Amino acid sequence: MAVTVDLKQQFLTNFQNKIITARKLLYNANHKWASKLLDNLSLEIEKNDWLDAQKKHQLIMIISNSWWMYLNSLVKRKEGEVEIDLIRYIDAYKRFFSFLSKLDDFYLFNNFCTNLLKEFIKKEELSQKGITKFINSFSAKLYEREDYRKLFEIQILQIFLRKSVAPSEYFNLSMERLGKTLINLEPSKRALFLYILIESVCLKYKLMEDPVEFVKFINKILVNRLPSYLKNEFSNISRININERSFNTILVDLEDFIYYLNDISEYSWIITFIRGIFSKIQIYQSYGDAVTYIRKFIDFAINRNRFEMAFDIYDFLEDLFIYQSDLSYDNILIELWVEACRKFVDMKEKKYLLQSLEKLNHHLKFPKTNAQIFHYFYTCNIIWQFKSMFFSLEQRDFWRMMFYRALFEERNFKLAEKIIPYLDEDFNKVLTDLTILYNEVEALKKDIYKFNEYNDNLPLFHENYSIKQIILRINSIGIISYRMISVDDKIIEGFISNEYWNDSHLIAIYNELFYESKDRKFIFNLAEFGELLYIFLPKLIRDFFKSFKIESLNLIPQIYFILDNMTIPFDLIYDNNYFLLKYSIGYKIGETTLGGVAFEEISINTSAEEPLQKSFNMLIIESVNSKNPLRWNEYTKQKELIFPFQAGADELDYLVNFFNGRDEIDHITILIGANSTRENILSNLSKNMYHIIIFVGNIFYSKWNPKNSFFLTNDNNIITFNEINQILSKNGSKSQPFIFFNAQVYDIEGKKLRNTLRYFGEIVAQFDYNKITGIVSKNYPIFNDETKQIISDFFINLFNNNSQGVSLLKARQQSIANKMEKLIEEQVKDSISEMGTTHIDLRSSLAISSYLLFGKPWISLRKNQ
Amino acid sequence: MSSEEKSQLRPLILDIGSQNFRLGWAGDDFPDIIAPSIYVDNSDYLFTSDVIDGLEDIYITEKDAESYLFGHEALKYSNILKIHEFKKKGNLNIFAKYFYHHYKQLKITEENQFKQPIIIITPFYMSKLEKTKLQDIFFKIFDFPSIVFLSENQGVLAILQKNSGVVVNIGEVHTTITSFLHGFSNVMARDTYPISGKELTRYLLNLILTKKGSKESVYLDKTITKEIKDKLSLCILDPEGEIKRIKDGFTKYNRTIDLPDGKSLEINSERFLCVEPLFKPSLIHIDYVGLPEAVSRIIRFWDRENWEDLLPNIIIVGGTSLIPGLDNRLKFEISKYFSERIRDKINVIIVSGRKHVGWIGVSVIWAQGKLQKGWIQNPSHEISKQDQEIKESNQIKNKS
Repeated sequence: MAVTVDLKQQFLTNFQNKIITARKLLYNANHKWASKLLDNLSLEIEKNDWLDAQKKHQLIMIISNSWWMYLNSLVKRKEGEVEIDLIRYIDAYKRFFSFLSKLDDFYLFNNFCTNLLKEFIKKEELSQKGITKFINSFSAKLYEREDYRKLFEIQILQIFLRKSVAPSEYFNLSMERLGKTLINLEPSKRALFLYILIESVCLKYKLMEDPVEFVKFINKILVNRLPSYLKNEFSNISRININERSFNTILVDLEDFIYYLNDISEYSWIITFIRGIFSKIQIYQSYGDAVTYIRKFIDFAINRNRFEMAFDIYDFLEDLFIYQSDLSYDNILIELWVEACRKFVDMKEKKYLLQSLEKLNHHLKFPKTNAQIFHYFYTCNIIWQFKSMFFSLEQRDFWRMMFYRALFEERNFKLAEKIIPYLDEDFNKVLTDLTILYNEVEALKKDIYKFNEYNDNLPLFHENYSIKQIILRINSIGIISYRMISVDDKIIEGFISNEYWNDSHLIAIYNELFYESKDRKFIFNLAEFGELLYIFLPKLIRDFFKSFKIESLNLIPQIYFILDNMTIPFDLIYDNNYFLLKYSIGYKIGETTLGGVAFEEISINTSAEEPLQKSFNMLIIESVNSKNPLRWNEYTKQKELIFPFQAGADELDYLVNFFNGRDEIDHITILIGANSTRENILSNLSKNMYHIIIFVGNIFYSKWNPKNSFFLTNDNNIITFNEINQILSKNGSKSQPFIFFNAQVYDIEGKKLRNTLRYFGEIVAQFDYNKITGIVSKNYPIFNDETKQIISDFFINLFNNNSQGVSLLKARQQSIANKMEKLIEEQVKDSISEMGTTHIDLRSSLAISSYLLFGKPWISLRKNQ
Repeated sequence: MSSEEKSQLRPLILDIGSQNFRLGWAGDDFPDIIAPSIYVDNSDYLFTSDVIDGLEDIYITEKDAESYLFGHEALKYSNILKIHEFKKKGNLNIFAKYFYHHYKQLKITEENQFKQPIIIITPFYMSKLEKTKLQDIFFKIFDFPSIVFLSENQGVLAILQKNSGVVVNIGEVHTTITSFLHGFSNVMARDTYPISGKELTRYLLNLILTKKGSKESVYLDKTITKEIKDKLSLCILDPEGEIKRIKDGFTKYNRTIDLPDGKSLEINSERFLCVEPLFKPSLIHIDYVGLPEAVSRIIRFWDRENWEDLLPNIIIVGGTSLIPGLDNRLKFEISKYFSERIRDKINVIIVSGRKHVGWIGVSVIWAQGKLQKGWIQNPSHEISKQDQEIKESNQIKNKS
């Protein structure tokens, strides 16, 4: 079952409320109820099957943070002294760890436990009994999750802290596990293996100054407590001596170990060796050499799909870099994790991508200098690309990406300025002068880190590429593929590999265009929305549009959008001009056939031929339900229409008059008022003689099966779209009618739907486009001089043998031209009266964008006679 | 001796209820300290998990370890640590610490510490052994000069200025019925009744969970249920008739409870049904007569001519007696056990502030100077007094 937006919203609101309740309970020391609530919440998240991995992770992190924040709040610092309510603190920690241990992802548990352990090591007086219990319980979890390396590590740590071996099950298990690995190693190399393992504990937890002493110390304690099968191996450790002279030879052995351990599938130990090698190179060579050396193991791990190892290396590098960082905005740390994300994106490895993104977000601190601001937004744009392929995106991600593209890619200062309020609040203070910012950082563009995704100057992409037709396909996953042909039949095709289409935030802005301004969250007019839509397109697509040239006024480029869901009209894209005024645009909703969509020959000279006289048969169906159904209104004390559609009725009158006066119409049938019954409509449609069918009325959308959406006839009957499609698709049908819909869309409960595009898209996707010419629908219930002109111009163009796409384009252009004329007249008047110029937002006219074409834009009516 | 010092040497009245502990100065209107009779052990957590162990040992060093918290302080951790009722546990060592914790709060000057006589309010069923143990605590551990044990019911009668009546004390843990006639009681004319507040709480929990269990998941614990009972329960005359009305859509009893986890709970008939075990113990599988019959039996124990003295004075006290409507229902039910002639005389009295009426009553008795007898002197003080006398006589002898 499809999950509705409402349901998702409800789930998230509910989640939010429960988190607030749980936090209140925690701060009131009601741990029992709070942990019950939070545990149940995490269970709900885990079993939820429509939340994606990232969202689940985010929600789990919110729960985890609730505990973490509470724990921190219990530590009160007063005049250098720390005061903790220990009863609450201990209980909260226990419950927190219990919560973490139930999660599928062991990372959080492991991380928090290790950090706590590091805290304990720093304690001056550490209870031996306590630390033994702690390490043993941690060991139990590590054993359960089969993290034997860490198990061995903390057992060694325990020996150091206790200065003795604790006789526990986990000590024996860790030794047993170590024995199993050792047996697979060459006897002469076992001592080195053990040496590196023990030494690594000292290095990681910073236990002693001299790691050699540490190894000796541990070995001395262990000697009498080792199982017999390990005694010999441990006794040889004392023979290992690593110094500057012997290091090069040992390095070869260590490197061999890494490859060998990988070959025998004991790769979990490898990270220890990498850390060991690093520390040695750092001592005997330099820090830089050490970093360069271990970086090569990242690709080693990634290529062998050892993602955990790769992540560990990045984690290790992060520790190193943090040590050298001043904890402010740090390009190196950010770029480290961007690189990690990139690698995991390439391998489609979600788990570590998520963790890397988490790390990246953590380091993406608020930028201060202009160079940092550029770096910050550049990174945000890349994060958007990474996330768009796997996860649902947050509004924060969206606006950061849009700001980057608006300012740094498109130099659209005005739009960037308008986006600033939607960024985090603090950006108001630093983004004061965008022009200065842009100019200052322009030089940095070529030096910033980048991935070689596509060459900016594709060989086929030269200025002489004169575009003829473009097909853009966006499927439900969001993969964007393109195919375009030039006038001289050169074809470019491919798909966008670094970014998926993820337009939920854009839809929210689009939907708001129809709200009253007081209810609006986003203040963008139609043209600004068009600009947002343009910059939202992946850079490659934008570059296409920028670089190809339009051959001549006579050859209008055709764009055919194939979408799984109709959400936003691409006609509204605005790159200094609306697409709807530049291109002949048509849509196909849903899958294409296996053969795909072929380019079709279009004549360069498509200018009006003489239309055939008396050529077309026309059927006009009126179903505006102007007499019934009715309901009683208690306030006005009279019955009123349930589904009034005055704009529809007005347009119908206009169309009837218009067509009656046209010579091209041979025969016209009008089903109006009481004549527009189900029976009449079906029988007329079955005649298969109409070239144009006009439908004006109310459509009721069925979300369960859009095919069974219906319109309400005037005799209070229904006709489903399935029935209409079946009639029109009947064999032998030759007329291939063009259909025009002017409809209001309601849901089955009779609630008027606000933005009807998606629903209407689903309905028209049911039609067989081989049996019809195309469909033009009107999206907003407005009727004025502009709409009158557009629709009449459209049909005149169509009768003049223009393709349906071009007809619509020309009608829109004509409408704008007229508007311009009026505008100029107004301005002249104003200047005469010296009252100042009146601002008319020419570009924000809804009328020109209210008609959309479904079907191939290059098909014309003439062919179907 | 200043007046403040004088007032600090007044007797202290101590009421060790199973639910509340009351401590205050004799002659005062109200106890200075009212605290829940509970304690918690710092290391005895409600949540036991072996996921991560050893935190107590690491964080709580010996110097930090104060093993117990008492009364209100203990209540703060009621959702973290296990709550113990010291009366139930019978651990007098803990009680001694508990008492001392609250005694300190009276802010008695150092020179006056442990110099006050102690009046201990006891229920009639307190054994001699228990009394002796208490005596040991106050004499040997704290070295108070004297103590006296006084029945709570005497206090109740004193406050109502009555010397005949039946006192029905329905507490959270115990319910007792005691009768007095012209100031005298009879060991045979009293009873401990097996149903008290906690049984009603448990029954209410059962009622709610049985009703909701199959429909939705609701988590409730006894603390929340007790709160629901204390705030919303009521006693009505015709529960069966009201159930029928509720089934027909009567919504007067509907209440919505917001639970701590944000869920809400609807209850209606449970509000009055939870009191029913007092009238029909078989509902909670207790083989005993209903409370009205138990009361009537106590009255009937006295000679018939005395009934008329007792029936108008049926007094209900204790925390559970706060349930609205309980007095009317008891009156109605008790009347079934007596002839029409004397039925009219039945009167069930509720006392305002009846939660603490025992303590207040005893304070009144002391203030009226009626508490001269029954004091037990601390033997060590007697010895030291004798020592003093011997010393003095020796000095006189020496002089002469």
